[in-house]
Amino acid sequence: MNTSLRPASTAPASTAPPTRTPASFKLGVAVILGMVLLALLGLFFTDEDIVQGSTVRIMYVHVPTAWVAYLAFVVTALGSAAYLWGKQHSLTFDRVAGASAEVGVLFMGLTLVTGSLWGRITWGTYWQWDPRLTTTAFLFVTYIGYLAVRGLGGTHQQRAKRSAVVALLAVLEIPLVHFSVVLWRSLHQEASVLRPDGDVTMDGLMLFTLLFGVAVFTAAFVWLVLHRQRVLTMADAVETSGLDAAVAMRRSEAGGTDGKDGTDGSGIDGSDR
Amino acid sequence: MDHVEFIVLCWVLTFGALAVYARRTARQARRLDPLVDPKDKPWT
Repeated sequence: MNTSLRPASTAPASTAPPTRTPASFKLGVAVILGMVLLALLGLFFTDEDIVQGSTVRIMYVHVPTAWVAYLAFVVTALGSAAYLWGKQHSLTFDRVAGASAEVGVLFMGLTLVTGSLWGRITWGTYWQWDPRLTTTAFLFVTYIGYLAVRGLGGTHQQRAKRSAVVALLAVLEIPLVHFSVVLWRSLHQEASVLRPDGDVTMDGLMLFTLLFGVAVFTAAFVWLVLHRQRVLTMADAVETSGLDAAVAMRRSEAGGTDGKDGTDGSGIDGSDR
Repeated sequence: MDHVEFIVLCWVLTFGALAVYARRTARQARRLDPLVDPKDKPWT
């Protein structure tokens, strides 16, 4: 790798993040506008539910965050598979997987918190060891473990390989979480839209707001992953350049021994970073 | 609106957490930027 550390620029720092492109900026603006519209629809324009009253307004953030968390973990699995079975073993796929898992953990955490608050109102308790809640918490903890595995150290290729295996195993939990309300007796209500019988039992504007929320949060996910994977690319480049600098220093210290042992004198083979 | 505090808390927590995460990502990007060679930023 032929990267080098650049000195910090003396020019005044730009307020725009260095991961921004015109397309990502437009997407970000669309996401913010979408969230404002979603808040207006969800909090003011939709009717109250016959059974749940106004607490149904929590659904417009709870369901989309859960959907995006599932999506994020599926993207993590796809990125991991693309890394493992791709001819190039491209680290870009690994970084997309890592970024997606990180954003997925954020959304899954929000699903648990908003669900817990909703449960306090409807069930009278913040937490219950119910099949849906328990499997969701297990999924959340699994992906925290995935992120911990990513931080174990080693070369970038080692990190990518071991985390890809974990991601491909972890994604198998998603059907278990989704169908937990059907498989076991659960306090949690069954699916409102993706029902096994295909019947949607929801008012027009409520359904539109819910689907609009899913679209807005999906766009937010794409936007966050786009920026996050670019940050991971930069972090990897800095790590590699730091390692290159350390190798160069070691090489200069080693002096006469350079190359005699079949390596570069540092004892580090740079082919597997 | 019943339980308004719970409803508002859910929305504020959700949007707030996303904003904090986006801000943290942007700050990290700004911190790393001077250390990264432009050729390691293929999106630029």
